[in-house]
Amino acid sequence: MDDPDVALMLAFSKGQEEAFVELYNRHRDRIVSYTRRMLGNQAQAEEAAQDVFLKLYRARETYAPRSRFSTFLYRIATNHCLNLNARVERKLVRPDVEAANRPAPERAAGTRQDAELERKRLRETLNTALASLPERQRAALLLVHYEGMSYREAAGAIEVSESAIKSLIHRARSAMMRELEPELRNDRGVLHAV
Amino acid sequence: MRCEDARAALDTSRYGDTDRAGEPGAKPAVEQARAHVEGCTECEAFAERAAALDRMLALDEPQPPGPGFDTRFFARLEEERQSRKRRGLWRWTWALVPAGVAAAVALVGLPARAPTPTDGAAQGEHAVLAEIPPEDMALVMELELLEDLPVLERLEEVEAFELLETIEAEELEAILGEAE
Repeated sequence: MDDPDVALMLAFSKGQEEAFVELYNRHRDRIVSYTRRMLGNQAQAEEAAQDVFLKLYRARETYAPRSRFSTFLYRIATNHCLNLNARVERKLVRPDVEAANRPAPERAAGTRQDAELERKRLRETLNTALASLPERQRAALLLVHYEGMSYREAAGAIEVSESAIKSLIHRARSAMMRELEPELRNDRGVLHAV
Repeated sequence: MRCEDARAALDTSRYGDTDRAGEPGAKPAVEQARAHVEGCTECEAFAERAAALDRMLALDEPQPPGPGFDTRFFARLEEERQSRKRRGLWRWTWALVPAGVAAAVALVGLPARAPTPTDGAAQGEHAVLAEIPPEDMALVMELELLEDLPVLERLEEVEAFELLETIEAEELEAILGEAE
């Protein structure tokens, strides 16, 4: 398999600890971002990301390269986040409907500070909408949209079929569009913030 | 094409899907969907909102972990390594316990085997022996030795056999030749 990360993991399996450190350095930021989007909390996400890398460390004795390394790693991360959420029965923060229906503030003189505030507000609204998605829909959307995985890779990470992934993403996007309707209707704020 | 199918095809095509709908040679689903959107006001509005959603999703950029993340992680990793070492040692210790117990049993002389049907008889024999007065025990021991008398009578043969094992092959051949 032409995947340098697979080669690193195999080297680690044979006892080369520095190969593990290289894998950690390569994937750390993305895994932290992924767990943050899955869990909706930075502190919890960092703890979870560390758990994921510890699980990767323990997996060296049983590792067999059956897929791309990223699929393998994100499968660990996805299962870990799903387990954490199931265990804690974390209260999902429902979007503030009233606030979401409030028209986005008109762009004033257009100071840089205004744009930054608007970007922050939109990010929070977006994260609230992401948190309101059912977990598998959220995982599917995050893997394909943010992690750039193909449908096949995402299917491997969540352990569902490719057609199920397509369905999950379509449902996730439809739900996001419903939740973010006021923002999307008034796209000027988004366009300005981008 | 129905509106819902067109919207699903548009969503799917955003992430590089090139599925072809229907028979070989048919237009890919996404082309059919685009053709549908051109003539459908509602789906056109959907496509615009979908593009706006992509722009909004782009606002959430990846963020590096907070300060001290690496230090905390490598401390946990070191703890994991030490824990694995300790578990390894314990595994060896537990693996050696049966051998240790067996050695102790051999030294102390306890029966290091599973009970057998004859154990009941042996226990009965021990109970009988316990009832024998100490002054009579010497006689009993002599009688038990008598049971082994046939072996004792052939003790010379056994010793001779052991002696044979110490003789070199050439010497043995010579002795056998003389005997013939």
